[in-house]
Amino acid sequence: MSHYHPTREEEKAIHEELASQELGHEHHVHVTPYWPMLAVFVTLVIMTVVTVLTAKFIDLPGTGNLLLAMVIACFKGTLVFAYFMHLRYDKLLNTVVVAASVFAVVLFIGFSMLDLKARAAFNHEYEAGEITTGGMNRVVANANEIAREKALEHGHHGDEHGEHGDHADEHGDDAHTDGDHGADHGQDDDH
Amino acid sequence: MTHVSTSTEDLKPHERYVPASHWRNAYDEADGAKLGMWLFLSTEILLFAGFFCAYAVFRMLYPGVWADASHYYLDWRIGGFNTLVLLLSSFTVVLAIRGAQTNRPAMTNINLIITIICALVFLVLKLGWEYYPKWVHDELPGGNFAYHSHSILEAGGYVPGSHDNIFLSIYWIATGTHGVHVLIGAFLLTWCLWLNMKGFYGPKHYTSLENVGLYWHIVDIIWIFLFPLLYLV
Amino acid sequence: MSHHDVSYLAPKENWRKTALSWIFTIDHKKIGVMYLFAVLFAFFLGGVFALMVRMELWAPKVTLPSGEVQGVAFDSLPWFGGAIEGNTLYNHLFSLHGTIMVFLFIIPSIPAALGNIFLPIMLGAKDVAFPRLNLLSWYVYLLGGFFALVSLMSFGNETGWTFYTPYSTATEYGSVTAMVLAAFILGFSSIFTGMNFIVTVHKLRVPGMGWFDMPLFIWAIYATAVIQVLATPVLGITLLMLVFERTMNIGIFDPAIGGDPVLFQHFFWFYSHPAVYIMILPGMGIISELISVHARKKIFGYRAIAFSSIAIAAISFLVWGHHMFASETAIANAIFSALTFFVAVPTAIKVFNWVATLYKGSIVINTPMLYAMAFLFCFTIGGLTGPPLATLATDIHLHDTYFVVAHFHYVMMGGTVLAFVGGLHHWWPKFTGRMYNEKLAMLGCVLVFIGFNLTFFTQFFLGSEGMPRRYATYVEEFQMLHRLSTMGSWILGVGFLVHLGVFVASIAAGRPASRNPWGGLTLEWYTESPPIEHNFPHEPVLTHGPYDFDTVVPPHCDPKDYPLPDPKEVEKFSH
Repeated sequence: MSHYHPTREEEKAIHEELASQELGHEHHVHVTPYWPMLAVFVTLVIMTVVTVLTAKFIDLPGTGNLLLAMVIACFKGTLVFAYFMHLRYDKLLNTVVVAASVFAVVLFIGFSMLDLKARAAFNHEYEAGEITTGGMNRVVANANEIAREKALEHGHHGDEHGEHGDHADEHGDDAHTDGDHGADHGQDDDH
Repeated sequence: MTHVSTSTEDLKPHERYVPASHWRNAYDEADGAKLGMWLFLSTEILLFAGFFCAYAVFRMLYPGVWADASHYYLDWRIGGFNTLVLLLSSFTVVLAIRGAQTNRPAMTNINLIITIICALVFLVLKLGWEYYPKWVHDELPGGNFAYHSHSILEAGGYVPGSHDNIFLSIYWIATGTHGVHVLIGAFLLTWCLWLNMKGFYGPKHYTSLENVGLYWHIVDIIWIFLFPLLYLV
Repeated sequence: MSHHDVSYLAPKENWRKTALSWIFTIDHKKIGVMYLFAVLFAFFLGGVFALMVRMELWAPKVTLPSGEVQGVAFDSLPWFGGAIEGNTLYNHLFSLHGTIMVFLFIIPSIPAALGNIFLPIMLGAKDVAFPRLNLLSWYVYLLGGFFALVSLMSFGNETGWTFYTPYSTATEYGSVTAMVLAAFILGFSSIFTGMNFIVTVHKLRVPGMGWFDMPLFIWAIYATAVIQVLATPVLGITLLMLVFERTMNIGIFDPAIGGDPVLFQHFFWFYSHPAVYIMILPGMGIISELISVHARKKIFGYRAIAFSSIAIAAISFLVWGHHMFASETAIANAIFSALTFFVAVPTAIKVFNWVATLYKGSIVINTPMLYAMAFLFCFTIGGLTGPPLATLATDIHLHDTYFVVAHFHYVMMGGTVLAFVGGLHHWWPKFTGRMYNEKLAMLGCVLVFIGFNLTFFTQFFLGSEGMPRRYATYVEEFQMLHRLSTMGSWILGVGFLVHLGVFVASIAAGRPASRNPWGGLTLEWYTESPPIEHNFPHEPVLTHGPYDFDTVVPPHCDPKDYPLPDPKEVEKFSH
């Protein structure tokens, strides 16, 4: 049961074996080639010129120019990553690190834009009077109509405010339209 | 095992290099350092992601203003030239590393010097022809931004919108942070040049040169994205 | 015997050399021990603020000294002759509690202190991959701590630990800028530690140790390090923008000049949600060790626990929006709510596996085991109160109430802190070389457990009845529950004082620890207690897995004390 304590000789043997295995892949240093790198550099310069030209002289609809510029930039970035930074010749692990961080960036920008875009639309509708405050369930087609209704109701209540029949009247209404109780109540609260 | 007979005194520093005692061999050490550098670069990518996210969101919120402000405040010729300068410097860094790998210190020296000059050209253009005029015209970020009527006349009809300040905020903090990275890169490259002159880089050991090179490339990549976003579209 | 074979704690020839050997050390154990002292001090400081917060809530009205505000910064400090309003003082107190506990204590607690000491030893390495970077991380941490203290001395911040805009950009009280800078700097310390650990795990495992031969603590620290590296830079840029906003008025988060304050919340939570997994994952790793070693049983579902750590790290990047259910739009709410439920899956996998490990184990009741069990109890409550908060409809009701406070503390304190203190007792004999008083430590554990539950269980009721968080006053109906909670905090405080006494007594007069007092199988139990400077006299050779309690007698232990189970029984239960 004492495998847990190998002797010095056993350990030495294991280490020597491991060391000899490691020496095997020690000299795998990849020397950067000259011509491919020059080709990459020239491509990068050409792509820079292309970016400027497309942005200046081609007018795409919507965010077309932006997307085109980003596609070119991504292509350039990939070239730098793959060749100048040796990812193509390196261990896969380094590429995984970059991929993970790029993935995190995409998540970060994507979700933030998703939310803020929706809220920009929401704000726009609110300013246009298409929706009112008070929650999503109270989205109504015509805010002006509601405003008029409210004004009328307000006036109605104001007229009757001093009268004794006020409460009796409301109770009577509630009794007739049972289902509307909640809604009525909510609107009364708003005043 | 042929060079065992030569005494270590005759060897250059890079030939005498031994890894730190907690590494099993020099290969592992270099590989580990490179992995560490890549992890650091991924933090750089995520750091700049903050600017790109802010850019994306505000461009979405104020699309019209954004494009006009870009054309009005920024000169694509300076940005474009700086892009080319950085691309060239990236290429020369690659050649500097090749010099170390093939044991040609002179090649490394020359290319590192070119790279450092490129970094300085970039910074001088940035400071003298972009930041200084903007500073003078109060084209500053956010709340410090001030409209000047004469610049409206110069603009050929373009009236600065109410959200130009946000565009300028992002321009200043993004390019400013990038500029600081270029400056740090220039210092690191100078350090590498000094080490190379003392003979610390050779085929078997050029870890710090390679890692500074990686750092320099990421600075370049970030500019590849910043240039079209800020100056062109 | 070379000089590397002596204990890493052994003093040098004179006190000057000893001091220098600590100040400029690149030994991961010394750096870890220095971190340990610092985080324990931060824990003490944050704890004092917590007790003050609970004291204030003893009565429904503002009980803190009140007076006229005579200005800002130095004028407003009581010790500079000024006075500060009781409400504002309360805001300062809970903000300081939160900021110190999160940035100075929990985030570095397990990885930077215990992780630093044990990660390389458990891998059989001499040190972490970049020892000098490790030392830099420690000094960066100190610099961040210095800024936090500066902020503290000028009466801190009153924004809560989240620094929400526009309040954090507009408020003139205290020194928010210093605190934000502190958090920014502490982020770098965290990144450096994370980078170091990832490379160490990849490159410095002892030959023969595959990924699935690593202790589960390492898996947890590794997953944590991935989050540290990928999420923390976003915190950096967020806080940097906040500093620019306060000093240069850049307006990115200021709606008055076209910015957007909700964008700050996205920025902040993109880091800070993953950050809660930076806080809890290492704790989970410790529990895996404690339960397996002190139940003397092979861990159940090794791979499931290992992969669930990675799964939690991955999912953590997808759920940040659930902190913003009240400020987000419907579509983002729906997506984030749905994604949040996925976190429960790997978390539950872990809990089930721990319980399954205990089944038919020979459980030793000692302080680490008690803490592991307390963790299982409290963390499960904390976990199960998560889904109600992930559900949109219930969250809108519970949002910003004491329910959230209770949930957070059940996970962070009932999870991370209990695991941290348990792990501290587990490894205490190893890194100090001294045993501690088991009975008193168990008493401390019981006090902490009772005090903790009394403090925070009451807050679930407070929250669901509508008590909002961060208020200095409340209606009288809540007084009973608030008083129970405050009394719980006293018991909790006494419990931690007992632990402090136990540790001090152990350092002063504890009996020397053997190499392997608990009968553990991971590599740290193969070396001396305390370990020698290079951890092992020669590189260890791995002959068994980290939890093979069914086939291996633990090193340096008497086989009579650790009888191996009947192979037939093992066979029966492993299928």
